[in-house]
Amino acid sequence: MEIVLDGVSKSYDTRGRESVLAVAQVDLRIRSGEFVSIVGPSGCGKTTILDMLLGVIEPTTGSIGFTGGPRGGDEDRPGVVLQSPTLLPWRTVRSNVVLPAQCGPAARRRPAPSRPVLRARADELLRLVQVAEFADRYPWELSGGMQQRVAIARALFLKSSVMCFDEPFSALDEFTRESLHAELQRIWMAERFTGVFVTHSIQEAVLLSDRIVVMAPRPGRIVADIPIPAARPRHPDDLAGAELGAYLLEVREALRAGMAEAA
Amino acid sequence: MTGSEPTTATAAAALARSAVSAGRRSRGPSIALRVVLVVGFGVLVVAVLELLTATRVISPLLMPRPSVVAARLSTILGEIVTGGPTAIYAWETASALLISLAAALVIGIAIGTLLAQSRLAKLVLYPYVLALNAAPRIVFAPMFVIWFGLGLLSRVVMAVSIGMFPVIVGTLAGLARAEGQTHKLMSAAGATRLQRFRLVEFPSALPYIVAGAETASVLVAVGVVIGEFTAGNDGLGYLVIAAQENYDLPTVFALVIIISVMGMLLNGLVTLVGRRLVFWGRATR
Repeated sequence: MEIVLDGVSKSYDTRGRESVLAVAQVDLRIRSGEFVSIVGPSGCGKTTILDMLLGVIEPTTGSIGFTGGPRGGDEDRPGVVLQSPTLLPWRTVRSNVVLPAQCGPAARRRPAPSRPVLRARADELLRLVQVAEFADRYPWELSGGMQQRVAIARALFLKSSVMCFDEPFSALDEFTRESLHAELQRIWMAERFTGVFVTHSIQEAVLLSDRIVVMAPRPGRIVADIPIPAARPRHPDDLAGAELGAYLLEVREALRAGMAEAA
Repeated sequence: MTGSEPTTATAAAALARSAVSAGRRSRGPSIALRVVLVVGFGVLVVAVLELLTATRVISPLLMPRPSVVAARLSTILGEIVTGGPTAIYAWETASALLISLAAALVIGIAIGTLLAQSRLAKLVLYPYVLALNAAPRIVFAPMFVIWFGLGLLSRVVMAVSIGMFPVIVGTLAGLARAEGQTHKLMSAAGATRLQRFRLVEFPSALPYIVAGAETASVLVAVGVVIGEFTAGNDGLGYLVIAAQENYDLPTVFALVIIISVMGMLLNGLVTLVGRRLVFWGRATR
């Protein structure tokens, strides 16, 4: 499914003072099956853009369109992985993964999928993210990395054609993060969803993306759009190599230029 | 002076040693020792009272002998167990407690949910909730008798008017504790307001509601006994008043003990059910 942002702006009214422009005039086209990272310093509006894609907030001006997917419209809600796993502590791991099927349009789908069908789908995904043996445990019995794997499985549950990630690995330790990077690449190569990945880690963006959108703050806007046509799967060691190293530099320079402009 | 110095030093050393051992075993004395200490203290107090009343240092008109109270207690308990006349009164109190607690929970959760869901409702009603909670509810007793009669209903209303407030506050606090990230997750999934409430908000408010229910179970007992004191001739509370009018202090004491134990059992029941209900409560955050 293709995502088109057309002149999207978002301003927030702050009490008494003039409104704050979080995102200004963003035009962005994300092709179907493309994995795009949005990088930028804090306050550049990258999470705001993601929230608008998720439909959590509405743009003040401009429009966001989803087109040309296998499905479309309200039936195909984007999957989402947030910075914290946000699993429900009273539900088992398996039952957490099933949650999206109990919300919104998916819950109204008729005929409603039977319990064993939901269960089988959950177990399949838990195997995919390698936490199958914890299906009957509770989230608080799992490590942070394991919890985030469960959150990924939950996001994949409805086979959404768009997946949104909001700094999903920023709270994890280096080793866990690396293994989840490999995992996410593997899953994306198998499922080929349209991915929107918000991060402030340049390395992470270069490792995972087909394209990196660089944003700058005050007001939040796009300052560079850098394709990363390197072969996959990419290994973290490749970041020290000439090819990915050059992209790292390019992104870093674009960020620096954007910051200088803002200051 | 020279003699006291080594003593002070020894005491300080002992204190330091016990502090170190307390630090090492952070759980303090063993359970057996704790039981011995707690029960021992109770026994000591009763024994002193027995001594003071037996020797008439304290007049038996003011303080019945614990042994006499114990005898009366076992008589009354025997009557309750074998279905004697007191059993009816005990049942009246027990059923009033259970009904009042259930009503306080249902009404408290309903009002708390309403206040949490509607800003207008909270704006308009919450000041009245706080005002009513601050009012000493016993002044309502005459009204309740006129409106609801001398029976069970009047006592339940009194108990609920006291007991529902911690449930309201707990529900409101639990539901208001909106978790931004979970909210985002649910909106992204297209969850309706009802789905959000049912799947996320209400379960995550449960630990707070249970805490409110624990307090409510204690307050409800106060309300029921106030109801029995002020009107009608039902319940153990009424028997207390009757015994007081006869200057029958041993019976008053025995009944007070029975009512207190009933309150403790109700509170224990709520705590037990609450722990099973919010099994995740202590493990998260």
